[in-house]
Amino acid sequence: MNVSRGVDTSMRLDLDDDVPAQRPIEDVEAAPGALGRPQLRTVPAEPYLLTADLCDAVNVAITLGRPLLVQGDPGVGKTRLAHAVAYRLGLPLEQAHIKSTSRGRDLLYTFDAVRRLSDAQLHRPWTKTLPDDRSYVRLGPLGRAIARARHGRRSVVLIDEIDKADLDFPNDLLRELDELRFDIDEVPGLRYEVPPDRPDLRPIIIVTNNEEKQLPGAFLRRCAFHYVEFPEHPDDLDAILDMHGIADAALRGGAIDVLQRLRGVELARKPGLSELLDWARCLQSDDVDPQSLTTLPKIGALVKQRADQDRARKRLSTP
Amino acid sequence: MSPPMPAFLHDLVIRLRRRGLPIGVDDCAALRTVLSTGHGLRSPDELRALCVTLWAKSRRDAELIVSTLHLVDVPEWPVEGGAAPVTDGPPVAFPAPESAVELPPPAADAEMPEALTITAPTRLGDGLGPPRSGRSAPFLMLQPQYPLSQREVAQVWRRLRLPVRQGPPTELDVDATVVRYASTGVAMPPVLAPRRVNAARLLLLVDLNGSMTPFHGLVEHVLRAIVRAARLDEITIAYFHNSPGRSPDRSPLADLPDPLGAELDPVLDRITPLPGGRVYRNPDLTGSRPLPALLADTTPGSSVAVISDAGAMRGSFAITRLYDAVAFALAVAARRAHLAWLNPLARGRWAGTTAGQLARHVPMFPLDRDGMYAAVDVLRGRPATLERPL
Repeated sequence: MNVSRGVDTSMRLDLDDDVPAQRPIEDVEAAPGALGRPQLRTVPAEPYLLTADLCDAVNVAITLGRPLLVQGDPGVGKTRLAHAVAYRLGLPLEQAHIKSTSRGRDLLYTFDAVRRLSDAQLHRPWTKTLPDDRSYVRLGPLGRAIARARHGRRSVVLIDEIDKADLDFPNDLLRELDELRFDIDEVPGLRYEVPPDRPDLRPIIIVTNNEEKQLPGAFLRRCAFHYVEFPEHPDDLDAILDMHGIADAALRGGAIDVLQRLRGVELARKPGLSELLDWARCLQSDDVDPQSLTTLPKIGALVKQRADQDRARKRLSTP
Repeated sequence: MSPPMPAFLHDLVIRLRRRGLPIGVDDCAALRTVLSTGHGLRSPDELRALCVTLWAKSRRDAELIVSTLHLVDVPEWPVEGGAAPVTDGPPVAFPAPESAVELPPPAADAEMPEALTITAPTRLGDGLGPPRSGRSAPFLMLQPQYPLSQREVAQVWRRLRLPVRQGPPTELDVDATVVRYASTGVAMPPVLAPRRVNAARLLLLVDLNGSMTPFHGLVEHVLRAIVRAARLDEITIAYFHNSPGRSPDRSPLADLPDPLGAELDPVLDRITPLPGGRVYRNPDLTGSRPLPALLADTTPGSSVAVISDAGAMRGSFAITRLYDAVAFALAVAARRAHLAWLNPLARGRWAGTTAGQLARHVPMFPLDRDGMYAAVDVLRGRPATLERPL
């Protein structure tokens, strides 16, 4: 591991910064090859309640250039954190949603060998030459972020649910995450890298983990860690609901009260933040009377198992 | 030459390493780097959060680091112009209930800190109240030390492998690709085959309570390590007390030439496999399951391991217990699964007990590093050398 890598103090996530309602940010889905000529896209603000702890953890990760490993209960906002960080810093967000078939290299690039082979086979004398090998290379999210650094721009990379992938997936990325450099094996001599003397261009990498699998120690050692706690305080929950456009204060208060009572009940799966938001949105769109919340209307959005629903109804029917 | 490390770091790292968190040189370097950029300087709490961010990889690690940092003299650095002032040591404690009652009325200039006006809730009786939460004294978290580290257990059990191609196709099957290309002559995507994964299955039967009580901590530690790191296809853990089942027919015992003797050898061939038996899903011996149902899930070649002292702890010998254990071993053998017995007591303590006799018929090993190596060898299918195999 490279101990003496540069420190980056050029960028800070600040809790007190004013967040504009929308801002132009580089479009990551623009045509491939547009890395040299960024196209801007107006992105709406990401409603997210940042805490001081979370800010510090993100800043430490930025300073050291390490990936930030985010853990926490399902639906507590691990993935949205990356969106919020990218928006606040005004950086494009590259997203890698990991599947069970994902391989480490897919994050960097894929090489379309089949198309290359078929082009070579269909090669006729009157077509002079094959296309350049580089045209068969398609960069992945992390690859694009590294390539973008060559053009002097920075990105946020989200590696979502890394524990879904095969056990070796994180290990395959160790060197690339350390050095932020990779070679395209199929095209000798083609290399992408973040200039080593420019720590301020390192992509900010946020990795979320649902703890389905134990991650390898070597990978964990290279990460900064943060556990996102569920915001237990009613004021925090109220602020979050307010941010997400639940305008009625009585509805917010009632929904939070019900949620907190339900979290005190032994349920197989406690309702989390995302369930609360879904439920409150659902209640708001249907103009449900805030007084009637203890009868648990639209319970399907809040509690997702039948046995839990029965238990929740029983518990809430007694004041 | 880099500047020296902060003085408290040595103590902290030694303590953390002793508690099983391997902090290395680069971890310290990372901490110094971040400290030098101004993070974690304002208060001990912030420093703790910083250490957690840098060094913790799970919630357990985080608790460990916070509790250890409470034991170490953390320096306070003067920060100029920081948003938060440097606090003096731990936060000011709330006054005791008696003094709160005696407090004079707030002074007119109203500079009294708000915390002083809080009165503690009155308690019933004179005794100490119940602890309010587990976090009020984080330095009280104790970390047990075991003769086997999690890593050692994991290393041993990772050798239990039965590679089978399974899951998403990710590996190139060169032969199939060449054959397909040769037969069709058209460029097609290469043939992929699933990767080899470990399909080894393990059924762990654990003896609890009674003479096993002193080993509960160790056994739980070993089980946790196996479950966490062994990367097996399926691990089933079931618990029992003394014996997984009583043999219904013990009539061969009556025909022993010496009823007070210790050996079953004369009637060994007449013992029948255990037909019933009952084990429990939970360590508190609740959630019972019939043993035959568990054994029915084992496939030929899968592994069954028993953790039990077999009477060695108290030096007792019971021919009925020996009989039942042999009947159990026969039931496992009838499923053509491999059986290994792990005994938390050292081999020297087995002589003259049920364990000593059982070890003549069933592969039994002490629950230490070498013993587990040998046990995994047996579970992998290597024949064990037994004095009188079944």
